[in-house]
Amino acid sequence: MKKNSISEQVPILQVEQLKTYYPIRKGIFSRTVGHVKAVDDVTFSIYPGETLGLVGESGCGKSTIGKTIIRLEQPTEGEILFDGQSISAFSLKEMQGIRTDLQIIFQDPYSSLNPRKRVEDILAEPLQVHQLLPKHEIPRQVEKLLEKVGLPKSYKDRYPHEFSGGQRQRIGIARALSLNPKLIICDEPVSALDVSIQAQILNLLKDLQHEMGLTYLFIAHGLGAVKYISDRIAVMYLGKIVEIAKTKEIFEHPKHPYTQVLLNAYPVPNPRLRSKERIIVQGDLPSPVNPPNGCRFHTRCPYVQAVCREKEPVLSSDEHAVACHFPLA
Amino acid sequence: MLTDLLHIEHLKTAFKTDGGEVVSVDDVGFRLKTGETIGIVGESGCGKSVTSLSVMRLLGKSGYVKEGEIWFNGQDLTKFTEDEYRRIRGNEISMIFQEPMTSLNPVFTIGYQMQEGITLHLGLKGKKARDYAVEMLKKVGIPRAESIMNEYPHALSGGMRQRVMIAMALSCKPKLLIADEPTTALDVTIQAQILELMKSLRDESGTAIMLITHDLGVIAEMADKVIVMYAGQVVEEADVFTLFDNPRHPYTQGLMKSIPHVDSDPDERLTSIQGTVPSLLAMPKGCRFNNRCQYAEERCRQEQPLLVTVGEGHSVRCWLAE
Repeated sequence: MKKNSISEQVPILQVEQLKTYYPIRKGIFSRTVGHVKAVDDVTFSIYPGETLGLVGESGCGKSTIGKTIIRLEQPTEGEILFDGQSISAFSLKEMQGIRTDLQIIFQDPYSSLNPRKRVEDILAEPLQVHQLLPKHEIPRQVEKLLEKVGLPKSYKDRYPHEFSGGQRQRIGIARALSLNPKLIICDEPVSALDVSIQAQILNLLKDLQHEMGLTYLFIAHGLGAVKYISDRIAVMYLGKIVEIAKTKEIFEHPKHPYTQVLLNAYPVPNPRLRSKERIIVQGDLPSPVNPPNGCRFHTRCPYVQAVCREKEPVLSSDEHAVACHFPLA
Repeated sequence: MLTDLLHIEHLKTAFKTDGGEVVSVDDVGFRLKTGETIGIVGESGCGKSVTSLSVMRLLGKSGYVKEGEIWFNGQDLTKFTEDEYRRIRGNEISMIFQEPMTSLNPVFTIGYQMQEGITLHLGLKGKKARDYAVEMLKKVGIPRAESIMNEYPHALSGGMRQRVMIAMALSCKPKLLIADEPTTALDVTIQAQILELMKSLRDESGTAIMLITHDLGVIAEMADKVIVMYAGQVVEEADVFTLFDNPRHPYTQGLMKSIPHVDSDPDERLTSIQGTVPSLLAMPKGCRFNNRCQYAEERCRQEQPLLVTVGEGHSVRCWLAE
């Protein structure tokens, strides 16, 4: 499936000029005094069977994109097309109809499972709500799901607190899989886990993808994990996508200075590479309430020029897309 | 030859719990010289933070050092009274914590919190203390240091708060700085800034650093020598180059292989360590890693291995390394 050129395929998910703003309210009348522009005009597509990695630092809007797609947040503007139909204007009831195809795995396995429910109830709930199976078949399906994510069947009677972080994340994955979805949004699924457990979960996600033909939107801030799992990567900065390309391209020929900075900042687990020349950007992320004019990265960019402060660059539309006035060679 | 600034021997730290006594650090020891950086790596619950808190004696009501000695600058800290401890804590030994969001007091200004330690330990008062605090803030790269002095912690970003913490920790020119996951809560570009800052401050002042982290990348970047901890014990100790070139303990090897590198081949499967860390209340018999170890033999399940020297400054706790 992945061998074909992506341009020949029909995307499973298309996000067009998506904007998600959070109002800032002040005073006794809760007047809106401004907006946090968490996602500001973002366009991308995901093709069936592929994994698109979405990376960026905290506050860049990557998680908001995931939540907006699944409608845990309301989009302010723009369109989301899933399987050819526009879902951005769907009512909550209509959304429920497509949730069987569209699932999410959350970052924190400690707070995303109901502590008062047994594993069996957690996994059976989606099946009961959507009535995809006759009642008597549900217990067997729960056992199958547990096996699929590498947990013993006997665990179904336990409560979430009896599990470690990695095991809880497996339960979270089993819950996402229970309805046989087409697309899973993985919102930092390994960030809260220990290194040796991260590898287990990443391997599991990859195996399940092969087995079930899943499509992932993989949101993360750790570049190592993203590289391992993604076919293509989109880099975000302050609510905008600054670069999208095949994983190999991003790592070997980054075109946006921010991508380069991000790759450089990541400490390499090899003490012999310690002395390498590093480009360290100064300063903090600007506030998404008042993003800088022109290119949003210009306040921290090592190669900034006059035009960058005035004119906002547009994301190019080729296969290796970049939003920069002076892309790196 | 330099004498050791910090020398921990057979440290055993335990906590009283409802389920009985829990030993969370068991027979940990290492030496650290002035200007050296030791990295302590391990997964959550392996006892790396408790080791550092034992040195600071910040174990709370239920924790205590049960056995062992902590020699700092020629004195055994385990024999210190609480008053004597207060004099070195924050003065000769400082600590930076993981959470820059929660380790500053939200109801006092940055200036007030900076000056507290400076007045207490250095005896500087009023304007002198304030000027010194401003100088320290400038040193760690805080812009508008003068006006930041009057700000409250909530007005600063995570990276800025961690800089304030570092400025505070270094203001009394400590001989030893304990950094417990100093960059874990920060973004990578900010992490790079903070690591660079710690390096330059170390090189300037000769402070010894105990760096606790789970990130092998940070270790490779900063440490001179490394100890790897697993389930409360040191399983391997080596200088940083030896550890990365020739890890001998199966746990260290597993950790190295399980990190998805930026340089690794994405088609390759990640090697993961099966299973999870055992609970401190139910340690397996024999080697503590035996139930997750792919090379485990009968002996590993029966007898606990000792930390043995396998090369210069390189020791391993494994039956198979002999």
